[in-house]
Amino acid sequence: MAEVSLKNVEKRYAMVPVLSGLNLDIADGEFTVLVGPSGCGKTTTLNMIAGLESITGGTLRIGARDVTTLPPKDRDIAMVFQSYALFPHMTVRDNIAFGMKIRKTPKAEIETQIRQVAQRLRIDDLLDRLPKALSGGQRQRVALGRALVRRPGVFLMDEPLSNLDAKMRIEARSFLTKMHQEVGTTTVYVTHDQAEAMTMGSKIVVMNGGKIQQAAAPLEVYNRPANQFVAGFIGSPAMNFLRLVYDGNALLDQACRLRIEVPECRRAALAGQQGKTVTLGVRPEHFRILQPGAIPGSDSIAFNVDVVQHLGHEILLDLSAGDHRCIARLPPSDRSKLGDGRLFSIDMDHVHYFNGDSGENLIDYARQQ
Amino acid sequence: MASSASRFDDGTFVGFARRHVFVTMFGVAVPLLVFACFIGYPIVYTIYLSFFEWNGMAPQKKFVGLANYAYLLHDKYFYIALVNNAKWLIVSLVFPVSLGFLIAYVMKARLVFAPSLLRTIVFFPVTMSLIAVGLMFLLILNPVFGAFDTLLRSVGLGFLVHEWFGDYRIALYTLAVISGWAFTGMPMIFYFAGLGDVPKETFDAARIEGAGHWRMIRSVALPQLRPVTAIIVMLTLFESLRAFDLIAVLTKGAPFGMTNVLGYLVYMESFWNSRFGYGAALSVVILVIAGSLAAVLLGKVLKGAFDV
Ligand SMILES: Nc1ncnc2c1ncn2[C@@H]1O[C@H](COP(=O)(O)OP(=O)(O)O)[C@@H](O)[C@H]1O
Ligand SMILES: [Mg+2]
Repeated sequence: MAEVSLKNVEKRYAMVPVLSGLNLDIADGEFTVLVGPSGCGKTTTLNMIAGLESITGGTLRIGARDVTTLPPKDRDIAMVFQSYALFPHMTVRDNIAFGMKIRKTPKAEIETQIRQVAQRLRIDDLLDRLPKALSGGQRQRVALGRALVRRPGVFLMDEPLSNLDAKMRIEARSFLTKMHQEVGTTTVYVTHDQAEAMTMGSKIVVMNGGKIQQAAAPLEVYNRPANQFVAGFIGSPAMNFLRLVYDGNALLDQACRLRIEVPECRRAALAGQQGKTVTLGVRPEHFRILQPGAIPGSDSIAFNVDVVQHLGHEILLDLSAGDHRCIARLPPSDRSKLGDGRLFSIDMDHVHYFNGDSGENLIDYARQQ
Repeated sequence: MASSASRFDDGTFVGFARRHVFVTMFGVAVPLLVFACFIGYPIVYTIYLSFFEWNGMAPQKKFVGLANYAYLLHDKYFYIALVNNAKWLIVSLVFPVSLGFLIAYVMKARLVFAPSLLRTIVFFPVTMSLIAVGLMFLLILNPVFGAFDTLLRSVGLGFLVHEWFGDYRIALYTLAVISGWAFTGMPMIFYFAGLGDVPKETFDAARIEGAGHWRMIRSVALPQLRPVTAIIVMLTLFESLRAFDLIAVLTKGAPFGMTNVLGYLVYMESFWNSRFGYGAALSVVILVIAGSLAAVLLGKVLKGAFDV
C-alpha cells in the first residue's frame, strides 16, 4: 500500500525535453489511468515511476520515501508490460517464481504463493507450459500473476490490454477492475483508449505533448474538461467544435448566417472575448433534431446530412453547415436520410466555451462552486 | 509462347521453370558448374589422391590402397596435431566467444563510454590478415624487446614473463589466444545483433524483480540467444579447424611439432616432405571430423534453438 507523488518531474533525452513539470498525486489504493494520444509521454512517465528511465528533474515519492534515484527493485513496485515480457524459455511457474527466487524466498513459500495466484487468475492448469503455448489472454494473466506475487505497494501497467482482441479486452477490463477492488493496491495504468480510461479509472490523467492536461475523476473530466484537447479526447464520438465569433450576446459565423445565443448565465465568463474567436464545444448527444416544418428560431441551426450511420441502439449523423462539420447522436427512431437539410437545436446547458487561441475552457468551474 | 505461359503460370517454381526453361537451366547449371569445379573436384581429387603415393612431380603415381590411412593411425605427429586442434577449439570457445559476448552485453547495457568506438576497435582485427596479426605479435611478444614482457615487468608482474613461442608447454596456447584476439570481434558482432532482437521488456522485467547483471546474462540473455550461440559455435569450430596462418608465421609447428595442428601438418607433409598422398589422407580425415562435428552440432545444439 502506497501513495505516489510526482513533483515537477521532467524528462529530457539529450537536452530535448519530452516531459516537463509533471505534478501528480495518486492516493493510496487509487486506480489512476494515464491516457493520451500515442507519443504523449505515458510510457516514459510510467517507466520513470518504475525506475526504468532516469528522472532528469524533480522528485518522485512512493509511500513515504523519496525514490527519485532508487533502482527499480527498491521502489516497491511491480509492472505489467504491453508485450507481457514473459521469459520465453521459462515455464509459467518459473516466470512467476523468477523474482521470488532472486529474493531467496523459501521453496515452500514460493509454491504456496504460486498456487494462490494461479487459482485466482485461473491459470493453475497452465503452470508447466511455456509462454508460446498460451493464448494472448492467458499470457496477460501470467504477466499479471508475476506482478501479483510481488505484493507491491504500487502496480504499474503499460497498455496491458492492447494486444488482446476486442472481446477479450472487455473481459480483461472488468477482470482487472474486480482484481483491484479485491487487492486494493494503488495502480497506475496507461492506455491510449479513452473508453478504457473512463470505465476503469477512479482518476484519469489526460496527457498531451508531454504535459498533464487534466487530472480528475472520469465524470469530472467528461463534464468539465479543462481545455479543448481534453474535451476532444475524452468521449466517443468526439466533441464537436464550432469556431465562432462572440459579439457580446451570441456566437456568430457571418459567412453561413449562423447565430447561437449565449445564455445570460454564461455571458460573464465570456466577457473578455468580445470580438474574438471562441470555440463552442458540443457533444454529439447534445444536438436535438427539430421536426420537419419547424420554424427556424434563434437557437436553431440548419445542417446538411452527409452520412447516416445506423448502430442499432442509436444513429450517428455526419452534419455540415458551411465549413463546420459535426456529428450528432440521435435515437434509433430518427428517419433522416442522406442529403436531407434539417434543423437542429443545441442543448445550451451542456455546451463548453473554449478560448479560440489557447483552447482553455472559459468557464472556471473551480470558482463557480 | 503466350499459350504455354498462361498454361503454366501458376506462381510455383515448377510453373516458372517450365515457362523459362533456358533461364532455369542456365541459372541452376552455372552455380552447379562453379561448385563442381572449385569445390567438388578438389574434394574428389583429394580423396582419390589419398590412395596413392606421390611426390607431387613424378609423372606416375603409385597406388597404395589404404596404406596412407594405416600409416596415419600410427603417426605420432597426427595425434599431437589432433589434440592441439582440440585444445585450440576449447581455447577459442572459451576466450573469444565469452569475451565477445561480454563486450556485446556491456555495450548493449550501456555500461561503457562510447560503445560504437569500442565496437569498431574490437571488430577491427577480424578484418586484418592473420599473417599481419602474426607478424605484429611476433614483435609484441619478442623475448628481447617485446612490449608485452616490458609491460609485465614494469607493473611488477615480471614473474609471469615466459618464452611465449619457445616454451613447448605454452606455445600452442599463445597461438590460440592470439587467434582468439583476432577473432573476438566476430562473436561480439553476432551477439550484439542478437541482443538487439531480445525484447527489451524482458530485461526490464528482470530488473524490476531485482536481477543483477550476472542473473540477467544467465537467465534472460543467454537462453534467448541460443540460435546465435549455435551459429557462433559452428563458426568457431570451422575457424579452429582451419588454423594455419598463425602457425605458418609464428612457429611452423616448432618446437618438435608441439604446436602443430592438422591444417599445418597437411601443408608440411605435402609441400615439405613431398608426400602428397599422405597429405591428402590427412585432409580427408579433417573433412570427416569437420563434417561429423557439424552434423552433431546441427542435430543436438541447434535442436529447438530456432523455436520461439
Ligand atoms: N530513448 C528516447 N530518445 C528520445 N526520445 C524518446 C525516447 N524514448 C521516447 N522518446 C520520445 O518521448 C515521447 C514520449 O514517448 P512515450 O512515453 O513512449 O509515449 P507514449 O507511451 O505516450 O506513446 C515520444 O515523442 C518519443 O519520441
Ligand atoms: Mg507507450
